[in-house]
Amino acid sequence: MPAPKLIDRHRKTVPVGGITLPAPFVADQGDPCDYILDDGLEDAANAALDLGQPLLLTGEPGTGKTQFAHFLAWHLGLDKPLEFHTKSTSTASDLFYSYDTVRRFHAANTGQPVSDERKFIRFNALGRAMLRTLPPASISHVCPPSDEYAYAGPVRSVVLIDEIDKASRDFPNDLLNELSGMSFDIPELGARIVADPALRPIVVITSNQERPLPDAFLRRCAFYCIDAPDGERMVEILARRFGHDSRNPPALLKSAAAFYTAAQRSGHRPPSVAELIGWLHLLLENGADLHSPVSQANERGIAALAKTLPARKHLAELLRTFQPSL
Amino acid sequence: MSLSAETSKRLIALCAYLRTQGIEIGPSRVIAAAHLLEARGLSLEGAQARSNALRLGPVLCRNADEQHLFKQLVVRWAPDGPAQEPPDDRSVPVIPWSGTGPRTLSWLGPTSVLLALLFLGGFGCWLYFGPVAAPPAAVQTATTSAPLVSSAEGNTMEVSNIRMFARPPPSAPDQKQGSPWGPWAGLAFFLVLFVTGLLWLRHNAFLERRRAAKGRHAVRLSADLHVPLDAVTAAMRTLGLSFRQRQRGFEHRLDVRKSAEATARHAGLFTGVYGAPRERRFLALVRRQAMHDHQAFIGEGLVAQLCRSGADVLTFRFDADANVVEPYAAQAGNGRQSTPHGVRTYPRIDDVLSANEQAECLLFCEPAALLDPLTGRLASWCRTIVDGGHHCTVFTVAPPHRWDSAREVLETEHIRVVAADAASINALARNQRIAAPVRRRALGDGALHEQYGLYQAAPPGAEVAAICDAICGELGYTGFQWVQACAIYPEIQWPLTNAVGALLVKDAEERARLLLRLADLVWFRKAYMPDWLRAALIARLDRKTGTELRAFFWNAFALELDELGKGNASIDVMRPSPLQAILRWLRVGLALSALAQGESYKEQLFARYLLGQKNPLSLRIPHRVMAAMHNALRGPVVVLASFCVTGAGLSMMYGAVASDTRTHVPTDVDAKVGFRGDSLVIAGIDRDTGAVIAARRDALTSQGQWEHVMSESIGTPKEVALSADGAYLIALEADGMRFVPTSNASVPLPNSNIAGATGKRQWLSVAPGRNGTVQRYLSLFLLGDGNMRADVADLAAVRQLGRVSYLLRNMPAPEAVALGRVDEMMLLMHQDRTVVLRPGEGGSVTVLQPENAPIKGRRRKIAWGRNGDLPIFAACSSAGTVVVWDVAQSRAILSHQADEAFVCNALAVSAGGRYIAVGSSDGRAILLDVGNPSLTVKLTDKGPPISDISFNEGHTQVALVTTDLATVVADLTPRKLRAGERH
Repeated sequence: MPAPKLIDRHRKTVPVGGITLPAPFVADQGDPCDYILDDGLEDAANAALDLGQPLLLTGEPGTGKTQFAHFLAWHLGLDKPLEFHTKSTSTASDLFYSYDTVRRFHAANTGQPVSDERKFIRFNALGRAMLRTLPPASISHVCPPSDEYAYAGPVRSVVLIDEIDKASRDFPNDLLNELSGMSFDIPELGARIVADPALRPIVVITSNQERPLPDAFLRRCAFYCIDAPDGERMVEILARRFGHDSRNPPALLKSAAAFYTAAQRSGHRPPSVAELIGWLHLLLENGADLHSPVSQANERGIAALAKTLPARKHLAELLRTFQPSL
Repeated sequence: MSLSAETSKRLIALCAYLRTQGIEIGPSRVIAAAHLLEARGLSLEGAQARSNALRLGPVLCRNADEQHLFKQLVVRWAPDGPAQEPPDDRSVPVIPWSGTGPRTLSWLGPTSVLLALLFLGGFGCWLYFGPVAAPPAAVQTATTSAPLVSSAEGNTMEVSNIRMFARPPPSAPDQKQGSPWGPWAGLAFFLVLFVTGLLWLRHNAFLERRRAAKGRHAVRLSADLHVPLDAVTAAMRTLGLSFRQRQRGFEHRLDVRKSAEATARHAGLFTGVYGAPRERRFLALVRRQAMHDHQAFIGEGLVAQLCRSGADVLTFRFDADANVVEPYAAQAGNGRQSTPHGVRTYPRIDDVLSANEQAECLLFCEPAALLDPLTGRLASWCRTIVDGGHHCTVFTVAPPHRWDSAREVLETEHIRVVAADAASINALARNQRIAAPVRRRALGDGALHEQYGLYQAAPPGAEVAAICDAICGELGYTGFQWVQACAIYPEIQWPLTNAVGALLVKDAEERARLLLRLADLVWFRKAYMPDWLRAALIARLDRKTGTELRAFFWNAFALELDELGKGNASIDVMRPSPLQAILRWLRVGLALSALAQGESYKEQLFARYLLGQKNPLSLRIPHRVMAAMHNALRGPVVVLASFCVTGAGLSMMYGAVASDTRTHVPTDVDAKVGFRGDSLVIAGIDRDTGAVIAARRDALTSQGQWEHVMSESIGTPKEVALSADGAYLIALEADGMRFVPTSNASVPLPNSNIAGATGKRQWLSVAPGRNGTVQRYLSLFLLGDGNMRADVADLAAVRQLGRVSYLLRNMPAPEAVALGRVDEMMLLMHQDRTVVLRPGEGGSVTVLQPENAPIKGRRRKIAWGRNGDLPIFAACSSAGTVVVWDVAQSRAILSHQADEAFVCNALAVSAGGRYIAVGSSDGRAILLDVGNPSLTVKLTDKGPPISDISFNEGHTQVALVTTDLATVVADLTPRKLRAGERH
């Protein structure tokens, strides 16, 4: 029984009791244990761990670069990765900590005590990961007494530096020493944090290749470009994502994987894995038959797949002529 | 598990193969791949070679294209089955790096072979063209040799009669017609031998090592293209290699002309046109960041050396922005030096360049100084040089690992980076190639080069020890002792550094080598060393050196310090006689006791060190002790009014902001001044350059130095203000704000005040909350309907993008705006009156007009003070009127009329609201006392316009700054007059 439409052009009255919107579906936030590695990524991850280097992942959006960090943390039995989402204004020190100059400025002008500089420090992903490699008692001189930084004892962490290519050109260059030495300075406190080498954080860096990264930085990383999955792996991804047996997947998922492969061959922007999962979720929510292949009847949800007008026309045409061989 | 020899060999072969196919693989990647193979126990032998090689992709590839290419190449390199080397590519050699290898005589053998070939060719031709002509019968035999060999008669022919290259005699023209191609074939044969030999020599880089000697020989390739001979030979070598590279099509082969041009660019560093000798002119630009910038001293010394060599050099200094440069006269010695003519005192760089076309620029600075710090691209002034077609070379004393990234950008612009040492300059002077910089050992944490080494707050003891160890590791123990010696004196000075260097390092060459490396340390670049580091370095001095240095400084006191750097830097250390020692001890003791409380801690430490106390620099004198000493020395406290009456009780301290160290001395700066603890901070907008500048002076004595905090262009700065504690400055731009900690980098903030201006005019006011008021911002908009809107936001509101708005109906436009405790009241100043707005409930506004004291002239400035709960405020005018109102009493409590030439420019009210300081546009400043209106103290006489005035927190000092950034600090501490001071 398909759920009633939330927006119905034929409905002329306001529904009694209002409308309850469903929880948002985020295709990128699947269970880490469902992540499917290809051989190359497995080798790259092993190489990065063997060499103690950051793992630089590139690839088309939606191919699972960010998800891999979650998978890696789960796979190694560590806590969730500490994430740093790079902005165009990010600087290298932001990766370790940020110093709230404005709050300190305000405090100084309103007569509030400013002698304890720790109050204005906030540690970010890599800085926090380095701190967590040390005993809690040894970092009390830099950490404010807050539950935010509480942890039981020295642990290893996975750090995700997401979309590093968003930042300025100097951002990766400024990280060279810190990433190799796993240490950083806090001039405001006159302190230097050096991570315990035995618990060196595992760093995963993603890039959308919007700008080239400097060679000096690349030299210090293990690199892997995640390709779009082929049809077989796509079937496995979809089956796991929607909780089916990957050896005997439903016809809808198999045909969707074939449709994805056909769409990849077009000259237009191909849909990503995450977009395909979102589209299938939409179809299932609207009562699509799990045992029927995708067809022209599924064209209504094409907006979840096609993000440009030419791509929309192409995918709609492809859907009309699509004959999956299941 | 160690890597087998076969796997290592195959790995290197694989990497060489990948390099030939366009995947650049450096040594570090090869090492990483070997480590990975070793760690995983993988092998590149046997059936697993391909799959194992594919696992190396993450460490051998840098981008997606390389990753895909890598997969294809590995499949080709190791097809299924045992690994095979690619048949065609294995023969491609790795291009050897040559140029600075040791010279050997190994080129003699191949060259001899080549000469022998030449001799054979010449001898053959001589036989053919020379007087020894063959008899006709022999010629007949030779020219018909092919049919004869196959005949039976040919077997009887004598070999000695064959003259393959013999020319027929002129007397037998009929016989010559029978063999027209014989001589040419012979000549071609020897030519091929010669070219083959030449290529072979190039391939083995035998000629490469001779390139420096042939650098000046030019070859004309076309009408407008002259290239050095070595460029041609290098191109021929590359051409030869490209023929051997069979995988590539012909279109990928060498373009001789392009290659020759490219090689010529590299081969001739300073010469734009080859083949025609000409007199070259150099523009030497030395960056000087501070008065005692050691890098600049070295750069200027090298420039002087270049001048002495007879080169035609114009010398300039520059600071962060070289759009404006400062000419200076290098010590040219007996050489000649051109003086810039036809340009202003501080000329613009484009004027200099246009006056000196085709001059070559020699920049003595760090390579990063040529780049825009925000974009990472070439700075605008440097772009001007490059676009003008001027060849640029950067000389730096910084080690290569600090300019690797900058060099990439610079080399794309054909700017070379070389080591600034005597060898480079000598090579330049000899018109030869600049020597490649020697790579120095990298410092892992960069502690010796980063700015935080300059912070006043001491790091943990372990880090201080690590820094000392790093200095010792960088410079060696002798160099470390040198740094220790420089740390004794409170200031890092060039002559003193030279003098103690001459004392400690006797070998001149070693001293010069150490000085280059020492000058790269951050403390010497900035000519400042914090006390915590000085104390740590002094504590590590060994006893013998400490004794020598103490004696040296005693002697140095007897000399003028500035004289140390002149003449022979070697100073003999003489032990004083016991009587002299006692007298000196007494002298320093008296000097120490005479030190005032406000004077520098540094000098006290130095004096105590000279007295020979144990671990003297770690002794910090408690404030209470100093205060007690101060009172004991100065006598009982007297009230301010009493010495105001005398008019001579103020002790003044003057200081200009490093005016002699800046290449561009600003003359029109909207400057602000403030106190941060015991130090003085100034900030302002340089109207000439549009840059926001800030500086800090740590010690308020004549010995203190200004430390530049920032000097950078941040768009279109409109106004600058300092925070109450002097820790931050705020730069208001046209479309944003910037918070700049006075000891750190800037923090841009989104602007919430300026957006939404829909009216005709707009006023912006940044009112730093001095004297205990709250920091607020005020924006005023004149709306289209004739009303005015005031938007007020504090810092928290800026962060939350919130604000308080008032709609002020029928309110005439204000002339200027001052602000104090906006949640209670706001002050507007109009042409004819002053209005205090007191916001009430529901947006209502109460208007107070304390107008019982007329003001003559246009009102110029308003300042607020606190007197109980309600503020007092002061206003001054363009005609010398100063009026102070008490809001609680709603009346004027002070009215002062100066002469009409006293156009008020700056106004400050002390924290208690008692003292008023006023500055004028003609440089005069006065101090008024609200408690005694009849008293006026003159602070300064006429001079540049006063830009800002500020009291310190305890209103014991008042500082004023002029538009040329000169500062004056008056000490208001009550004291008795000393003997000899005039009333």
